[in-house]
Amino acid sequence: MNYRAVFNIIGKVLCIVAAFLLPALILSLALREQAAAIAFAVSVAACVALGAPLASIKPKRTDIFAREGLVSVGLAWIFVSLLGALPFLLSGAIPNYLDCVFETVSGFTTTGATILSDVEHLPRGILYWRSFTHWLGGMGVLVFLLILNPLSDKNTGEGMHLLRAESPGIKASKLVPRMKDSATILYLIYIGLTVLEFVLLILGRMPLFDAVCLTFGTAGTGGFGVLNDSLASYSPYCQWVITAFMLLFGVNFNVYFLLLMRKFGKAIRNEEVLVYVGIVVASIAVISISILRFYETIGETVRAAAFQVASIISTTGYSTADFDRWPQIARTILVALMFCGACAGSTGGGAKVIRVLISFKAARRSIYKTMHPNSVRIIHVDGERIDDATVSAVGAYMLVYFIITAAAVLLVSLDGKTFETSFTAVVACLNNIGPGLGGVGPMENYGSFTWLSKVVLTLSMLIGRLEIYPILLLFTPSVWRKIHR
Amino acid sequence: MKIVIIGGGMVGSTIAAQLTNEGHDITVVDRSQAIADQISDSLDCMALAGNGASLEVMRSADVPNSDLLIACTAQDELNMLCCVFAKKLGCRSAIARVRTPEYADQMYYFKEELGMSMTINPELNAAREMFKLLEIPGVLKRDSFAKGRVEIIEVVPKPGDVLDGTQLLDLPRKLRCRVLVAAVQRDGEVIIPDGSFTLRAGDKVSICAPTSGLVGILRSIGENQKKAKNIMLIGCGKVTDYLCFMLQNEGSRIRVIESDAAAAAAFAERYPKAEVVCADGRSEAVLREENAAGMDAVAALTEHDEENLILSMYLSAAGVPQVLTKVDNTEFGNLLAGRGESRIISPKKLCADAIVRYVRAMQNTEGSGVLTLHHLVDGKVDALEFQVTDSCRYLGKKLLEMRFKPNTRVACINRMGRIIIPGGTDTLEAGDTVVVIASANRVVLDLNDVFADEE
Repeated sequence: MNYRAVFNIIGKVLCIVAAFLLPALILSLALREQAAAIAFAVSVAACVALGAPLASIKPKRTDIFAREGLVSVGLAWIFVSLLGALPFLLSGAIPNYLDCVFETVSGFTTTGATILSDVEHLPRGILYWRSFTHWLGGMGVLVFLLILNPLSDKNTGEGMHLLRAESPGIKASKLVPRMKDSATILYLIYIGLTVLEFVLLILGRMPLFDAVCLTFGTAGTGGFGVLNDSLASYSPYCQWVITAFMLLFGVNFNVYFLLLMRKFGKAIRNEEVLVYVGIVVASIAVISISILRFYETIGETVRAAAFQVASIISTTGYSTADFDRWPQIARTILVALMFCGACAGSTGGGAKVIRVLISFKAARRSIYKTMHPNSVRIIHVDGERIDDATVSAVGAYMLVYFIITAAAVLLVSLDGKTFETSFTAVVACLNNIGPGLGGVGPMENYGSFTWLSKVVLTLSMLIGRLEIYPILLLFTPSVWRKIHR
Repeated sequence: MKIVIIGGGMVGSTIAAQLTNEGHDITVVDRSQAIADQISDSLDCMALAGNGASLEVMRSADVPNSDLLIACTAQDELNMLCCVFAKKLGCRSAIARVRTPEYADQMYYFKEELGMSMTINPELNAAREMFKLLEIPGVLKRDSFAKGRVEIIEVVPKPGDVLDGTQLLDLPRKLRCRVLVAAVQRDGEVIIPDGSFTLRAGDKVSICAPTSGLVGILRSIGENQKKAKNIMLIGCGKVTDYLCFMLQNEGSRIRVIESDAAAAAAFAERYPKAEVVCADGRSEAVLREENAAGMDAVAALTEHDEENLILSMYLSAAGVPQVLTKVDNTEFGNLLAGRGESRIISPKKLCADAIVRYVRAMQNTEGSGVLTLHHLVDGKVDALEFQVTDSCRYLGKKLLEMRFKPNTRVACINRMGRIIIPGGTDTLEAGDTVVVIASANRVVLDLNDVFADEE
């Protein structure tokens, strides 16, 4: 284990966080929110005080392997969450540090689960920071680090391990030969889409501050709002814009790159995106029919259905309706969408459409093979062969994923809430959605859980965002040994 | 530059690693997904799986917009095909590895008719390298500059010889020839020394000297400077073929040992002057019978690196004055090189060097581009030859007045064929070529890159 290199990376990440805290500090100063401004100033100082010495550690060897990459990402996210929680605590917005960490992790992991019942009275600076964590966590803070700082002068593949550990999907593919350029392109696409959404919301006469925060929330597919009723009180135009962008941010960013490169044919034929669109359209149709009687016009019905479906499948977690009161079929579809999640290589969470797709294809192959034991079948996605190692890795991932869900549900059940509440709380956190059903429905919050459940749910959010392994690895003793076994 | 490399084998991956370090955008195409994945994981470059000669794969590797395509798969014909298509697609230049001895005379047509910018032949390069070493047995490595007028040789001083304990200032007097010590490797550390540095036995010393003075220098050092006459080559692959071709005109007595009867017969047919023995070169009895220990030089050229390494250890121990070892794939070759006696020649590394040289020259179209590039002391130091043009910042100035970057030296000036090993009062003039020594972690593209930035 190359500890020096790992701490060096974490130090640099903390410095980046300090830099990103500055806009919040300036906003608080401008709005004369004294408590928040002091909180941000102290937090920046804390990040720099911890980050700068760590960043100045010179690694003896700069080589980073898969293990160091995973551990750096896992640890960096934990450090960032612990320090990113300081503004909430110091400004007095949230009195309990565990709650602060829950809220921050929920932000960085783009979950959007909150323990606050009343967000409207928070200082604006704090609300801005809360939403901004979504934006930063959506694409990933280490990917940002890769843009600023190639890890060593000899541009070897080290960054690849970080990118792979932080960005979701079965395979982090390079868009262009250079890691740094790939990361830059991803962030440019991200920033481009973010700005576009912001402009469209401003054109819809949304207040400036709300537009900024909601754009951050949509871009990272997070889900923190600035009003207590989430998005129900905004105009239909704004709701449609946000619906569209939630879906867009759930699409694999490689597709946008292909579009920019004018490879339209290849972009349009992307199987994962086609399946994603198919699931969205089908879900909207079924849910619209089932909730027809709740609304007066068809337009309103479709808008509500589309918004909720987009919000859940992209794992954002905004809501314009209390879907907990919808008929059972609609609620079940939404829970299923929670598991499915968005596309790989997007800012969304969940198991990812590509894994679901490969699992289905593998299942179909197994069934076929029981009938024709000697047949040779290759699984293709986008016309390219998915080798058996990848297929079994996907299978193993899904298995671990469900085991973690079960274990977390078991622990959360100690609180004595209904099964529906415990189960959907875990599912909504693990898949980075936010609201679930029952006691954690869109109009409720996570404030009533005990500390144990909050810890479990916090870890679930991290596990979900980083796709299990970076966090699980931190609990594996052999990783920490000098000589790896 | 955007460079596409077809073939991710030893040559392909070595080139990819070198060129990514120099800051180019590399895409590697290999037939095997596993190799592509491994390259994409270990290097900061892109890797695709597929047949590099197919237009579809070439398009997805963005060959049409690339500056250079390097085809180095195992098959010559495939490499040529790749280059032909790359040119058709609009790639600026294309390099193919062509190594079959039978094609050696038609290289001109490949360039002319098929539009290749360069063909590289690792085995031929290796044979040339070995040939040069056989000419002057006392050195570990020979790199020529200025069309062969200057050489940088690598020697290891033995305890008690002229170099041991000599301060560099005294060196020209002791060797009776103007020389410059370009680099010294001591205990694994590489030093670009100045005049006050004192050499020790066991250092690996790179000396820059005029070619005409080499024999004299080696005589002063006390190295065996007699040209090897009786030479044994073990294994008859492509390198043996090229080497034999060069040696046969030199009047050397060549004995080739090859275990495969058909290959041995074919070789005997091609080179009637050579004595071909069909026997297992790995057996000690055979080596004794063929009097390996009595040879002036033995080259271990079988296709297995491990066999070559073990053979050369045995031969050095048996007292063969000069042992040459071909090592292709193993990265542990320097284990043996550290012992001083043996000369390791890696065809694939030589080939990668040639390509890096070409790429640097391509990058520098104006100004004073790199003419020759050699790596010294395990690739930690570069020796580069430049043409001095009017763009040179210190034209006409004395060396004393020039400000260099740390760890850089001017090792030699070639003025109209006259070789000057420079002192502080020498100047650079337009039309000269200069050999510059620079530590390898800095990419030097232009002569002006070796001068310190002006404040």
